[in-house]
Amino acid sequence: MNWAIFHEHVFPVRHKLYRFALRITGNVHEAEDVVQEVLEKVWKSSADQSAAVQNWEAWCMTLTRNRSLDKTRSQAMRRTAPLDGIYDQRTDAATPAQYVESSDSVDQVKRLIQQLPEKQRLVMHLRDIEELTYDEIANTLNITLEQVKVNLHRARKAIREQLVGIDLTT
Amino acid sequence: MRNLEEIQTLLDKYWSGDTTLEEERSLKAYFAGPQVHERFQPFMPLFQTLRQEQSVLLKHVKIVPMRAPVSNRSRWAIAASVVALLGLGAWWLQNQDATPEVVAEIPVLQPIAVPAPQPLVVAALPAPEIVAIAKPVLVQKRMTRTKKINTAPVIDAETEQAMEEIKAALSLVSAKLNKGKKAALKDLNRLETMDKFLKPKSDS
Repeated sequence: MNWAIFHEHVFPVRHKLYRFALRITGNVHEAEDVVQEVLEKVWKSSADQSAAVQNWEAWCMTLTRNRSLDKTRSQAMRRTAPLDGIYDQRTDAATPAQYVESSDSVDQVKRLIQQLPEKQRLVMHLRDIEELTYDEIANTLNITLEQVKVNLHRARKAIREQLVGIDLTT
Repeated sequence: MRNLEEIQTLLDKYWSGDTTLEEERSLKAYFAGPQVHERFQPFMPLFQTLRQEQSVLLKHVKIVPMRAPVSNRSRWAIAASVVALLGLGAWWLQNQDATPEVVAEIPVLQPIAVPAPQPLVVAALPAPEIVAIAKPVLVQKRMTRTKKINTAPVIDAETEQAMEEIKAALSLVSAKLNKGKKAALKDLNRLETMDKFLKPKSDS
């Protein structure tokens, strides 16, 4: 692996890889480990492998998905248990007052997303958070375009029903 | 402020999964704004959550320890070194095995039915020591750098013959090993003492 390629195409997507790994594993430390392993794997890839890669971000996302799923399944982690790790994330998107006001409802939405079936959850994440195109999502998750659309529709519909059904603003 | 119907249309497309990325960004911008219509308030937490999640960053990454990929030539060199070291180690171990520790066993001697033992000239020993040796004894002597010595089992009735063999064995050992010589002589003396002890019994 050429350092210039790594620095230009791979390293900048580390945050995206981390969020994706976090979505799958649901655990901050596991997600960090996954990203570390993926970056190392890409760095150690042979010249032949590197030459065959056309889209570094897509390749890294696929590696992240596979590694995260392996990790999650091997450790038989419960889906609901690691959510605490996600809730530890703090951002500067809102003022402290706004954050306190909306933190409960935001947490509930996070929980709703995390409780979606795996495919729906990952499709929604890649579309609504990472803003990938349908083709990119299909490529990353190794599913058809039609499956991407169906799963996205089902995921959003499920979230909407929950939001309408329970008044999160109170 | 955007038209409410326009927002409603975008939301409907969003729920059904028909929005473009640009339309979705437009919706996110609307819900991030200061004035969200009451009708759309229930959906605010969703777009807040999406915005928050987009700003989650990886804080810990260890790039420095990453090493450059190892070339094939280096791999072969490392493998060859490992094999050479293993071979050296095996050779060394084998040499160690070539000089095993040998234990010569002197079988149990029992103080019964010893027919006409040859008189042996030995120094008189204190009585307590003689009593202790008179019990059945298994004497073991460790020797190194010698070949294994097979001593024939001793039949009680042939104690004398056995003792001769033992003497011969101990003499052989003591002749070959400076280290074991002294100890062997000591054992020989003990045997002779034992013989002396046994002698009166057989006479009685």
